[in-house]
Amino acid sequence: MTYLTNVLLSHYFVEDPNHPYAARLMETLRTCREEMLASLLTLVELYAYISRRIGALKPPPHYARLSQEEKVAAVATHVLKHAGAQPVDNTPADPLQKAMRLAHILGLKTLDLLHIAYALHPAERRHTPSPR
Amino acid sequence: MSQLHAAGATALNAAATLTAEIVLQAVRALVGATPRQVRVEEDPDWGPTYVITLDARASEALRINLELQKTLPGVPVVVEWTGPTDISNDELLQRLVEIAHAGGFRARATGGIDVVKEVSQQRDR
Repeated sequence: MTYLTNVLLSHYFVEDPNHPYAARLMETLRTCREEMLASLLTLVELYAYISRRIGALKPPPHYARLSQEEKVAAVATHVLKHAGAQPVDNTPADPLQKAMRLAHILGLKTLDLLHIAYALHPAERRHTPSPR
Repeated sequence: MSQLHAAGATALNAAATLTAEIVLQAVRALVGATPRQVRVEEDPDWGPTYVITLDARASEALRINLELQKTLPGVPVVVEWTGPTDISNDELLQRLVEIAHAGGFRARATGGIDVVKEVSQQRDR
């Protein structure tokens, strides 16, 4: 399982200087049949990034009749689809509480801390033995 | 030099006309009838874009649009419909993403982009 954040954007935009590295990474993950996950927090970051840039982006002609808000959603959805990443169905409170517990151990800034907590959440859930 | 430009423009027009004919044939094969309208719109970012109007409901028009983009990857084909929009806004958006993806179209970032740098600033690094 691989937790993805903004590498999704570098992978999507061929104009990004890190695109070749991102493309190689995603190709390796696909070859290894790695499950690729994106959390709600990653989705928020994607939406925030694309929203700020939407005026300078040239969306595909198929999106021409969409509103600006819908274009942002379409590009964000397309970023995930292009990578083959699946959104994780997180309960928002769980990773937030996890982040609070990790704060003094990791000493990271808020958004980085939240990403760690979101990444750990599905991994821990997967490795918790089910009650008998 | 201007003769070279004129020759280039003529060749591009011929290519666009030929592609329009290919698009029309693909539509006829998929729909089984001639569409209401096929027009070529010159998009400054994507070049000739083939806009097809069908007498169909949205779900059917979008299904055909998806098949067309699978048949003609790299050629921008947009299908419009005169019938009712029988799907939700969310589904419409999902289908348009699927169509663009099938055709190999992604948003372009003009004027430069550096995700790592911009996200680092966003995260106050």
